[in-house]
Amino acid sequence: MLTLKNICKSFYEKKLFTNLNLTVSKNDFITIIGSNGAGKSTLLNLISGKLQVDSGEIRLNDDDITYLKPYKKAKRLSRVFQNPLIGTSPSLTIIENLSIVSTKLQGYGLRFAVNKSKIDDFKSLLKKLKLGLENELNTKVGLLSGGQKQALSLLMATLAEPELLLLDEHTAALDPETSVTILKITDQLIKEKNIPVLMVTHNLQDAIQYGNRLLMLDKGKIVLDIKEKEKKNLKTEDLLLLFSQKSISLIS
Amino acid sequence: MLISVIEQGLIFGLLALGVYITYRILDFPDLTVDGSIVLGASVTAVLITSGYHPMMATVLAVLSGAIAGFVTGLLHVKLKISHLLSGILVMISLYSKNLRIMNSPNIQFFQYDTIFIIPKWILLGLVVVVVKLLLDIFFKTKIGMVLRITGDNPQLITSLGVDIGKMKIIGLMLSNALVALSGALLAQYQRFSDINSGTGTIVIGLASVIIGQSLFKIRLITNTTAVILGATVYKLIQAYTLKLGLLANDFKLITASLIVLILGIHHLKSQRTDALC
Repeated sequence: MLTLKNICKSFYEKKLFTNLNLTVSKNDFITIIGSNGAGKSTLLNLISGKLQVDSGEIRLNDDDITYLKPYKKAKRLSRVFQNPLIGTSPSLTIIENLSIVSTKLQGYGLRFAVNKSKIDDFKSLLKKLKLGLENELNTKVGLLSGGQKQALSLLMATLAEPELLLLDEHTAALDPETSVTILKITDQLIKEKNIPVLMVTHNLQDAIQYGNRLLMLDKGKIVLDIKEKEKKNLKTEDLLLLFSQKSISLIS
Repeated sequence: MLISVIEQGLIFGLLALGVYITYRILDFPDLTVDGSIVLGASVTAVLITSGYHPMMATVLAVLSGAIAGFVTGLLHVKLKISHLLSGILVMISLYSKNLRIMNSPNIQFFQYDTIFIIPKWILLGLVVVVVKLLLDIFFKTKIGMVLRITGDNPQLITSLGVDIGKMKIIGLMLSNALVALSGALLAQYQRFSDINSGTGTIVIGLASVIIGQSLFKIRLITNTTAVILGATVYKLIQAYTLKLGLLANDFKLITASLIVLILGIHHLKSQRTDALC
């Protein structure tokens, strides 16, 4: 469970968040939408520690993680970025990438990174992606396509049992078809692992289709928080209408 | 003559391995090496002339190199000084330090025992092969793989829950330890250590890495082997140009031109493949 309490964040004179509160429960798969500058990415950056809050408190499963360094937070939460190059190491092979991330919690000593007994486990995980990667274990990740890299990033992000998964427009750089594949894989992995997720997206349809809860951010405020049943009945047109209404009301 | 070229190639192969770790793996152009190679040589020279066992002298020289790398890393990671400047600062301070250590601009130790109790090329070959194999194994361990990722994708290091600063420091220590080992062996090979012998070492290391990786881009040859072979080819070219009657002093210009040429060809090649895609 993740709780944000009275989060304030300004950039120089410009205030973005004032007393933002948000509770993410264990089974939440939250999609976050909002126009540019609404604070979606900043929100993820504050949680992951890339940016620091001015005041307020961030708790993950009852531990205060507000001022933890990003690399320490990373032991507990994972993030997949828009750029497929960020989640993997290009000059390492698929098996090496998977192996190194699978030992994230045990630490990195002088034992061999690739554990042969785990290869079959990795193969079956890769098989589920249905991209044929299970036959390319010794291929360098730099040679894979953007979609394949992003699928691998997702797998790697969920491999070490994180307590929270942050998805930062992770399909925005992919073509529409690949984007659908990656979202399906995302949904499947999340359901298997049963971890809370925050997914930022610009695609309203995706925001409705996936997850159990939808947040709309505008100028640092949560202007819409739709849950479960209500969300299921939501249509893109409704959302667009709400989107423009909120924007207009905030302008006037 | 060929034997002596190979021997020197092996000695500089260790330097090349050190430069390979910083330049290729960490993506950290480390100029400390100009100082740490002399540090390795001068520590060895002083210890041998004061009666230490050559083996002990060599080990302590390697440790001194690791310390130099540690300081460069500290400047960069903790004080946020740029990588180039951190290296330059340590290199410059090592110049004074090395003068202090040797207490004179150079030391000869022709009448002392060195590590070379068996034919030089055999011993050097053994050392280089052992170091190379240990490095290959190291790069397959967890920590070694994390080191490889450090230069490859720094953001992933943070995602893996690792302090990237720590990895840079480890890499710099390892690199400069190898460079100091190269210096320690060079001093014992020549039975001589000189304060000015380090100038331009980084360029020799870079040339070896670049030559090795361009010439020996074959699947069966690991990067570490390629880099050592690169150093040997470099020494061959050097010996050949000297034979042609070029002055030793001109060779630095030739080296620099060679690097520019190879990197230029690389750039043009990659531009062409980009255009084809």
